[in-house]
Amino acid sequence: MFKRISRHARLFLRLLYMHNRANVEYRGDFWLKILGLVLRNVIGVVFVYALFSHVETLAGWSRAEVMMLYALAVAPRGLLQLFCNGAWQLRNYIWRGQFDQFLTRPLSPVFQTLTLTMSIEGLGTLAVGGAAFAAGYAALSLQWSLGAWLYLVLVLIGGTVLATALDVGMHALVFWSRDAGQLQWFVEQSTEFAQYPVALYHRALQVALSTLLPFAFISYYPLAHLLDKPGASAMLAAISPLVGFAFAFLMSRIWHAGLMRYQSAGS
Amino acid sequence: MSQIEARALTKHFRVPKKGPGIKGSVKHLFAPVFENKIALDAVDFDIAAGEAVAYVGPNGAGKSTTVKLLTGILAPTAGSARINGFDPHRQRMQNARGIGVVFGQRSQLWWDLPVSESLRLLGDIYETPAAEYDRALAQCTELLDLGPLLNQPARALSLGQRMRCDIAAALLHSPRILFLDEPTIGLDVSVKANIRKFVAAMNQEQGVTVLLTSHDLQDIEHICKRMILIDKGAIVFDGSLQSVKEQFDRSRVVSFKLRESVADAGALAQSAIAEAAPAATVTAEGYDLRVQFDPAQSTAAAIVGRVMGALPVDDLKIEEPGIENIIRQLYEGKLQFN
Amino acid sequence: MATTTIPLPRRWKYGALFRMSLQDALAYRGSTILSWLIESWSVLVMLYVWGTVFGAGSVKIGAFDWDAMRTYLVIAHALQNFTATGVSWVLANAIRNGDIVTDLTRPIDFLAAKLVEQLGSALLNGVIGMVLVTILSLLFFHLLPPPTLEAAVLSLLAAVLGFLVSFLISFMLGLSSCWLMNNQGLAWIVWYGGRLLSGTVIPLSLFPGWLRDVAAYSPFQATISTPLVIYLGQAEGGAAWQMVGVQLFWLVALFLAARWLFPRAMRRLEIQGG
Repeated sequence: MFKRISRHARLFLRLLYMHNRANVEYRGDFWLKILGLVLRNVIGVVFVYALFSHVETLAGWSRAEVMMLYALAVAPRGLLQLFCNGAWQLRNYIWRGQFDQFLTRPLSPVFQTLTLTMSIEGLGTLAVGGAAFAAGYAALSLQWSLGAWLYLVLVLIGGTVLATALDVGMHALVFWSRDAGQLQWFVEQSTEFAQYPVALYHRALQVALSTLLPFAFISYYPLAHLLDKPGASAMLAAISPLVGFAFAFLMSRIWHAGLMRYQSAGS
Repeated sequence: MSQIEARALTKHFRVPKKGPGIKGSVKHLFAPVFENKIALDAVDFDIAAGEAVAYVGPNGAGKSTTVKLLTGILAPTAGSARINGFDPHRQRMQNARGIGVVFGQRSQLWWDLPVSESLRLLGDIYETPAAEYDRALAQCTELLDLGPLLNQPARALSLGQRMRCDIAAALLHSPRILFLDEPTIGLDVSVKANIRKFVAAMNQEQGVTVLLTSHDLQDIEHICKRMILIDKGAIVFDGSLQSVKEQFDRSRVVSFKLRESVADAGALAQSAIAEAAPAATVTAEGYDLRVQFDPAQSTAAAIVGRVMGALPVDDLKIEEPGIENIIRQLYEGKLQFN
Repeated sequence: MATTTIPLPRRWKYGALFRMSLQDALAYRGSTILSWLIESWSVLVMLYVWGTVFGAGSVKIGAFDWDAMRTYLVIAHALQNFTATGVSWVLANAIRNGDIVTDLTRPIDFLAAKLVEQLGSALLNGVIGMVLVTILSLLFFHLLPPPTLEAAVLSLLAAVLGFLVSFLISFMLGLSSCWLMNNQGLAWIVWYGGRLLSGTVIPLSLFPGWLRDVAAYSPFQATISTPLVIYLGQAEGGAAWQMVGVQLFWLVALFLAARWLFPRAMRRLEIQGG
């Protein structure tokens, strides 16, 4: 077990090094990409900023609080972009027959798929998220305990696992149909609901965001608990970091079914 | 014990039968209709360690399907395969460590990084011990002349240079079996020759088992001693290249160059050999005379002797039976097997 | 030998291109409608946020009440789908794989040909947008109609001009791949910057002052904001015509810029050995 983990960690680090080395081959593009993703996320911040210049609170959340919520909602995607952004390439790899190579190597194909891309520009996403979080934290003059920070780290890990699992699971639908990409796009778009207090939405949507599209667990439930918002549930906050792992299991079932189908049907 | 064995190895594909347009797609969603396509039909063969085998057949005959079954990419519908004692599908990881695979025109190299980086990654993936990796790399570098290429990114390499690096990439973990699927496709003549020489050396000197699919007959003749011919998912021939020639090439040609133009040269030659090779066909044109005969009925020596007695021959050539003829006929569907 | 060639009118060539692009677009109509609906999903977030802000009462923010804001958000989404073209992507690909050379050998104007190739999908997106917006409006959102016939006609004209402005920006973005190995970064900057400065995310009049000034001097406002402001009757008469005038200014300026850039991009391509 330990040997397996250390082998994958070693390969992961080598791939991280290789991707970053390849990325800086085009230095100009590299900075433009980072700037592009900064801009993408700055839009969200500008929106919050503009919104709160006309109102005081949103569903009982202040500007600083919503900024922190926004940061937690985008950070997992940033970490995914940075470390395991390969799933979107699956369709092309299958189409061009390159996926076959993954199966001739003694290494898990899902690991090979996830590590196909590691985009340094994820730093752009993380930078904006980090700044928004810091701004909110400072504005609220918060003084979190070490336990709270550790919990936050777990929430971030859980959120990244969730985003990655859904990314792979939904992209794996291309094992069944080449046109299945739309569902992944739908799921990725749904993350945007986590940028604002979930209490805003229709009851049915709130349920969806806590079950099938469980993005309330990456930002809203943990932060509501940490900020001690009225009506915050300690139980929901406690299970938040685990949801990602539960979905990782579910999505791995989809992946394996898809792979089995690929191996029995060919491309 | 054989290193590669296929027992009644069978692969069916379920091909969806869809009507045209959206209506067809929707209908297919609710009442899917599939067509069963038999890609490989109960194929048996054994390959011993150190053999070099050409796996040949027209497009769609089942060549690639076989390679994919043996490398663990596809799961068989029925029957089984064993590679180094492993089931290539169920024990895909263990099997992968013992084989090297090269797909023509599908590179393992990273586009933007020096080739050496891609090779090191593969070394890590296969967990090749450093000493063995260094030895294998040094050997490939020398034989494939990779020295000047290793520090270049793959995007800067020509197709042939990239293929040389890709073959090295497949061999750095010292596999005992090398699968080559159309390795020389699209390459120029000198690169092809270089690659053939290398593969033949790996086979003869290192004892690496080679299974080669190729449309290039030169590849086959240079590398392989044995050939498996496959057509419509079934093996139609399995034997030595020599025996292919003997079994399927029933005609041989002796061509003569005459010293002077002889009227009736054709008829004269025909009557000279009438006794030795009654079924031979003779064609004459100007100074050229061609005699086509069945080697089972007579020998080249008998024909040459008789024609030289009857006509003023300046030069002559005995044409070897080409494997190309045989395969071309197979591809064109002209050759019938029993 | 006497051959009679029928002298086809010049626009015929473009006619065939247009038919092809329309056929192409129609072939993908299913997935186009699906993408449209999927992207509406995130518009729903905005609708909820603003809906909460406006509440049940008659709150007014700037020139907007809830009815106007709802209308703005939904139609902005439709307009964005209508004005966005894939031309930068098409060009970048053609430049990367060298196909652009075949395009250049054809006896037609390159810029015009690329425009016509986009018209099919634009037309389809426009029609799909109008139909879906109407359906959504009747079922859920009860959007405002334009206040006057003039506003209706003028906003339609402004939408077409907005499409052309957006096309030219995208065209030049595509040409940038003659200089950049990979123009993804620049594409993101233009795309997301454009999203913000065009007023797709928030109406420009609700921007903080400094950002409103930036937006006022950018060509992006011509793509989404102008048609919508006219549609909602927030600019009428002379003010509306003035906004269309600004659109025309950008159209001409960007057209000249594209014309200026194109031969330079092609020369650059030759130097690289394409």
